[in-house]
Amino acid sequence: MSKPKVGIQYRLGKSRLFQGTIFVLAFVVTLPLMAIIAYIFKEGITKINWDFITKIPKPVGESGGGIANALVGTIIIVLLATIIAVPFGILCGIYLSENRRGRLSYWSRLCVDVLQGVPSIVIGIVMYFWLVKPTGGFSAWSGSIALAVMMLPIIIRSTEETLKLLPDTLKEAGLALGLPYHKVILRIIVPCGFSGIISGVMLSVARIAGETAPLLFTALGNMYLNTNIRRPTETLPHLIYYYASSPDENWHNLAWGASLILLFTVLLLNIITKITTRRWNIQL
Amino acid sequence: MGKINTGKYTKHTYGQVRMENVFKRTLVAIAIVMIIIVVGIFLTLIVKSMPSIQSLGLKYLWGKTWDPINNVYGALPFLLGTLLTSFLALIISIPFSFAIAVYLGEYNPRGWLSNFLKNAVELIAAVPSVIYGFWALLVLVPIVQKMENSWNAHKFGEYKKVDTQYNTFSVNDKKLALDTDYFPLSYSGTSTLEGTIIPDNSTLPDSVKQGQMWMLDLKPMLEANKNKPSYNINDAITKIANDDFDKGAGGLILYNTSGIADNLQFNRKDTTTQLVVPVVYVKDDAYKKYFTAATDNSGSLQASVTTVDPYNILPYGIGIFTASLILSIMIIPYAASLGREMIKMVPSPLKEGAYALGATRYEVIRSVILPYTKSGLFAGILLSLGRALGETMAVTMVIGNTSHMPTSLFSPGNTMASVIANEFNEASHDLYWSALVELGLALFLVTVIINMIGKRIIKRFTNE
Repeated sequence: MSKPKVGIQYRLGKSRLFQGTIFVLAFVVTLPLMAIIAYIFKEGITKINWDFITKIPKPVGESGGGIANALVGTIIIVLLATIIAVPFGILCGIYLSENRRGRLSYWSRLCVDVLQGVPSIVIGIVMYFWLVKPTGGFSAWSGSIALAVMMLPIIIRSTEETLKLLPDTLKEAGLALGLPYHKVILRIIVPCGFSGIISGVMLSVARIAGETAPLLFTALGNMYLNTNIRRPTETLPHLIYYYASSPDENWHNLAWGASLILLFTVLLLNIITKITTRRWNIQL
Repeated sequence: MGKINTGKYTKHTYGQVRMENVFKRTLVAIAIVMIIIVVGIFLTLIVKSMPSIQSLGLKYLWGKTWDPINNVYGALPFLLGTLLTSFLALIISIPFSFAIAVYLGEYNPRGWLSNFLKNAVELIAAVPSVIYGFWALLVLVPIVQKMENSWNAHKFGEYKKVDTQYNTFSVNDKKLALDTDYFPLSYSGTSTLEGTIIPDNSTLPDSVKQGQMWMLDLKPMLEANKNKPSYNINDAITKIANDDFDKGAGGLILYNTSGIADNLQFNRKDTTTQLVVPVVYVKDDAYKKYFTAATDNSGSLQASVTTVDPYNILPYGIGIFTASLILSIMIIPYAASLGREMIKMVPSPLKEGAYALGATRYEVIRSVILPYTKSGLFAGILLSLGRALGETMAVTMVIGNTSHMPTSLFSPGNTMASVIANEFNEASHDLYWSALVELGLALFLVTVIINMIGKRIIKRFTNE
């Protein structure tokens, strides 16, 4: 506009060129994603069979075997983490949405923000010093607590955001009827925001199901099937990390199959979450 | 109503009030526990890294060597590795995340195509890091390898350096220090040997000498050729080594008791053909310290040696560049989705005003949307950076994991996060451990500060 000589055709051309570039650049990004999904699917689908999900890995050099240890371990660790994180996260979210101002909620909210940004490997280190070293050994439950700490910010934020959206009249109506505070919250407010909270929980499960770094120093890994939460336990992401870095072809095969299972579980959880959150429009 | 009813009612109410108080206190307690967790994380990191902070001080940050065996800790290679990978990834990702933000925020906010793109971007953030790493290791690495080969990114021997990670030498279980006590010659083979140390000219029967570690004094050779300037000691050594190997030597130890300078060193530019057996040179001081007992034929010394030519074992394709590539894909969603939100928030009257003045779409984006969303887009980039700095698994799997200073964008390296992932469980003594925790502390502080600045900017932007 500073050069009046430039013709409208030139300017429109430039605009179209820009639009084209933006379009191409934006959609190029989907290529690696599709490449990864396609590649994992192609490599993984041939490895999955009944043995794969019911047997434990064979030693180096032997072919066959499965990843039952990692499947069971992941289910145990993630389930335990969810059991720990959900009540804590929801209650903390309730507190923050009920107390929008105030010093405690300010600091608490700040800590949630900080925790969300903490690299997972740092959580792993700290949990090692808090849980593994004092108890004298790697264990599934310490892994669960590490993952639960990582789930907290997501659950708290989604609970807080969901409950903020509910009209105050809902709460006021309950209180006017003489209901005690805790009943208003637990019987009216939380059920009204239930699907929003649940989708936050599912999203947090999807995020931590693929986490490896905090488990390196807590749950460690285990070649054998283990259901004792006080012992080291294998998980899918750790198995993938460990086997992918090994030169053994058979272990690579196990890692491919495990990747497929992990990837599809995580993507499925995300898609379900997306469908349920559409109603709530929560920013996470 | 009768008395009983009133009594019941009162009792009931007291119970409710008590429950109410318990509930409220629980909420407060949980909010406090949240603070305790985060403060506890911070304090734990500080306390556990105290030994390293106290004994290493600031020189920890710009020390170039990381050698846990000799208790030398310098974090510069990792700081550099983290900065290089993160910023390179950021530079690669910015055009793409900007394009997504503009496309979804301005050009096409609705419709199936933009829905597809939006969901795809969200799924990019959802794929577990370890899967990115695995994919990168088996798909991206060979591609980068081909690229590097065609660009001839490496000159021969660039990575030929002696490395404590791969080279070890111990005599009777006493470890010799690389460089100060011994070094493998640049044409030493890549192999491991455990055996008895036997002098080269020993009169023991061949059956005993087979496959053992032979030892050779360079003294006679050097003295005989003292005045010949054209004499090449390396040629002589390779010849002897090959001869000895034919005779059944499993490895060769060289030493020099003559006092004549032999000028032997690890020459990384050396292009002599590789030998099959390990050939190590033991310096005079170390020889006196570890070997004097072995000059007889008693076989009292057991050697265990591993020499590796890193040039042969470090596969091309892994390194800082590959790590940055995979990282750049992983961090796109953070800047993109925030940028989209920001661009959507630009008030339409502003844009419509510009259109009414006859601006083209490009001009509206450049002169209205960009200036308006500048700080928001910057915050998105900061969040991406925070992600990139702390990302561990994918980077660990493709960066090559060496503790040396990176020499180029294609050289293998280590980031702060990847060195913790690799070495934390193996750390054998307190200082080593606490040096690693100090890396974690630095990582914690940097990512928290970056995230806080980003969030502050977003908050200010959305409040305006």
